[in-house]
Amino acid sequence: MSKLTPLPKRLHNILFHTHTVSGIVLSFVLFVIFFCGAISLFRHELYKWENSMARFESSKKVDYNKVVNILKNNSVCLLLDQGLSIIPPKNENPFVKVFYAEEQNGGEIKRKTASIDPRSYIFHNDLPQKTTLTNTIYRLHYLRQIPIIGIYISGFAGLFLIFAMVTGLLVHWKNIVEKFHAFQWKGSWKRIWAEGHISLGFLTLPIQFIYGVSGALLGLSILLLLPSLFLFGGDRNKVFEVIRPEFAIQYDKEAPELQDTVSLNNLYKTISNTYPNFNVTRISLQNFNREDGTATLYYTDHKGLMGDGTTVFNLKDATVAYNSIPYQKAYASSTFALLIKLHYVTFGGLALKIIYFILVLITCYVITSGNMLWQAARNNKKYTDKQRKFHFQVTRVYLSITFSLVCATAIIFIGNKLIPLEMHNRVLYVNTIFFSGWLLIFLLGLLYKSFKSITKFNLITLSILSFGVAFINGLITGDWMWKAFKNHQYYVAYIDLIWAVTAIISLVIFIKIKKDAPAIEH
Amino acid sequence: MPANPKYLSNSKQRWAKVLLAILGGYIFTSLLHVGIGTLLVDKKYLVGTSIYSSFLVWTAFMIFAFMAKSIQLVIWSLLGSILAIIPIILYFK
Repeated sequence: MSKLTPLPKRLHNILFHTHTVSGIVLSFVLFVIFFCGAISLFRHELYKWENSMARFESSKKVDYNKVVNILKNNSVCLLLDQGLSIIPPKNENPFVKVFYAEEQNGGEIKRKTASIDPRSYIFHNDLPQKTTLTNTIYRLHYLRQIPIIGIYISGFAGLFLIFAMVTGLLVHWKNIVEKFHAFQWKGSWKRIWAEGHISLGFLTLPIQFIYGVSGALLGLSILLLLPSLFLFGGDRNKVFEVIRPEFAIQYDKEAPELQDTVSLNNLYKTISNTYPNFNVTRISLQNFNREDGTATLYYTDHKGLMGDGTTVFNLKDATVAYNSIPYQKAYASSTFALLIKLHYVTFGGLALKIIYFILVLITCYVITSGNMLWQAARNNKKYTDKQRKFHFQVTRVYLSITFSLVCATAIIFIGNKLIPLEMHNRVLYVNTIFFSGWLLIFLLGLLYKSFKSITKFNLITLSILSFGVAFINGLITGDWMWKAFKNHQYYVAYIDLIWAVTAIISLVIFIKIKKDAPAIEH
Repeated sequence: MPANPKYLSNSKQRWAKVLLAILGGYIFTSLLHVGIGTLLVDKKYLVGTSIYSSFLVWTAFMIFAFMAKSIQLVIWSLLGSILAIIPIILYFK
């Protein structure tokens, strides 16, 4: 088979070294980001599972004027000049969700979330926060739990992912044609890791590129703002006018009060009549009680990359203040939205999300195999015992951290059901269960002295915990898998089913790993 | 399989290179975008493009910094580009 022209020797060695070093350092954080991100892709689909109160058919007709009134009645000190958002009910989440700001006793502004049942208009304070499962994993995905710098670390991880990806492509360039379909489980471990790393790494290149650029953008947007600010003479608003024009509208906190606002239901109807195949995903109200107040409606067809629109109405007379028509968007104002869309997969439907999920999990394998390859390629007489021990320990810690994260995902699902929804300080308990469970399995994994036994320990733990997840949902909420299928609660049923399948697969792999499999010598 | 150390720079130079690659990459990226932006009549296209092109230019500079034969080459390239772009910005702004 033909080989592509390799790089000159000096460049090859230099890039190889930078690829290796940046890859090893990144592998820990990238695995956490990619794995939690893969789960977070389905954070809306998981909602009915995590909140048993949400397992009902939503009513399609919602009175949004009533929603605002109910919020006004139930909130102590609602700040209308701080903005207020309403998320209409959807298949994944039957509640109407509201985001708003309240003034606390000390004059401090606090952002809050609430859910309103669209059938009875009962107000549930803080319900979205109480069900913290996906929220915790989603926050871990961009390292929000690390104060202040977490988001920047995740942003730089995105930047260095592009770096590692490009250097990896250049280094492994000569092997790409030859190893394009080299998926095999024979030969030495070094060969298995190398071939998996190269062939699968090449196949997942597009997804890594998408997430490298969009992830860096989400984490480091502040660094991009500086040059743009300079171009507009330091006027932040002018930059927003280009990227997100609807954010650039100015409001006066002192504007005269508006007695009679336009009906939100009429605005909703206007949009649904103009775009019959689109769903309104968000209604944002700015300066609601003032003369210059606006309502921004966001809508999407869930299909095309450009298939979303934004219309800003003046609340005084329902005139359009800004309009971004789907599939007719200008270049400059659509690049940011496009990258966000590619990141969150809010296009193409559920099937595309599943493809993304699989590709992201394969990327996790590429990261792991890179780490394993690093150790396996150095496990020879060219290195001193001390060096080899160091390589071995790094890889062992890496394996234990990443495998235990997979197990801890099952733990947070169990914790979400074990702690009752009504419990005070529920978020704290669920998060404690998750993080201490992760730490515990990580430490227990370190007790094992070979890669194979760490893997086997984590496989059996994952298998037991996954059975536990599929079991505990039925036990606590009464919606057993077969019952949920019968009642058309597909989001609940499929999640239980996926956990049960995970449990069986990991059990089978656990049994199949033979004692005399190719040893990883130390 | 691991890289042959005879081609790699020594450890002091290595750290300088890492720092130069990251910081210099950001400086070069920002300058390049501001420079092109000042030449454009409608700056919004530059802002819209910088959203994705910045990280690509930044990465390209990092790879260049590591591939350069000496650290002096990186420093001179960075200084050279600063000296070339800043007059353009000052003149056209």
